[in-house]
Amino acid sequence: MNSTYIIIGIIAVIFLAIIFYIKTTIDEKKGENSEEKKRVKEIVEKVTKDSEYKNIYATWEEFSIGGGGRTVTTTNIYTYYAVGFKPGSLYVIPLSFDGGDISYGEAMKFDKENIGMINAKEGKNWIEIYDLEKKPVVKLMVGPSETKEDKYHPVNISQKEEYKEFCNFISEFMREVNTYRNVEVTGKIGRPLQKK
Amino acid sequence: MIKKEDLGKKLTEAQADKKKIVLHVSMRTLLVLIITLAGVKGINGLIEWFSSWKTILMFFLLFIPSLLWGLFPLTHLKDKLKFYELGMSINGHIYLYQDIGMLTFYDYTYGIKTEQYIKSNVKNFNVTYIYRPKRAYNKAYLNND
Repeated sequence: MNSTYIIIGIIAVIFLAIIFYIKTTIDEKKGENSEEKKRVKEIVEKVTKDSEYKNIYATWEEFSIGGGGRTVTTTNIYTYYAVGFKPGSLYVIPLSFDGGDISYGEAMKFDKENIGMINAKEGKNWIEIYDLEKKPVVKLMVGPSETKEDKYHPVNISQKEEYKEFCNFISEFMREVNTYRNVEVTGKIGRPLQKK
Repeated sequence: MIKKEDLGKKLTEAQADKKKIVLHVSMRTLLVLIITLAGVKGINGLIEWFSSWKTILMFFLLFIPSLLWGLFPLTHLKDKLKFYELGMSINGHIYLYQDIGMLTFYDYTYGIKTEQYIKSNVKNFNVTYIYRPKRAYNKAYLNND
């Protein structure tokens, strides 16, 4: 009797895994030429007015646990960006989603002249940008593909090529800025500088 | 005292989400009826409760607050959110951005219930029963071209 339940459990898990795999694969396929991907490109082109900029979709998710006593609250803050990048220059454009609509806010343009330091790690997919007073301005992360999961993961975007290029860009841009500013970073998220 | 004229030109507005209100009222009222009937042990039990003034009074003391809870979303039928150049108005209350700071949207989930709020530096505004408030905000202040 017990072994029957175990077998049913295993079959159910395998079945769910297959469904999840199929859904993710379909979403990734859709993301290769999705409306959201086209919209990100369109926004970057409109803002930069320069065809040399490559574009990529980026996000940042901040998770925190709070509350006290018997109440524990978890807070997730999701931020979405369209990013334009070319050697030595980066545009970060905040995005806002509502249903299928994608709106965009005021773009931030970064180069070595207006950045105090960049915290990132060679070959990794995240970057933290700090202003001249070493205060964080923007943090973002990219993925090779983003699939629709819930209202907080609202896009199907597959961007494998752009992902590789952006990871390389992060390393080069970090080197350029930090050498210019004579700063050495830790490469640890949220802790850019070594404690003295 | 802030006047409406101080807000500048009206950009967008969002009305109450009537479908959501009706849905929530229906679900809450159904829940109240089910719990009430279960509490008095069915229709026969209900007839028994109505056999004396004391139990009738007790029944209504319990039932009416529950029913009011069920119908509560109806109070949001006239909810209105308007975005202006320099501020916003929510259900007739006016706020200037120079006083309340930047707005952010957030969802507060507890159990199966999710409420939507607009958070400012001084106050949080419950916009759960307003139809697509974020779309109105995006249209007002962000680029949609």
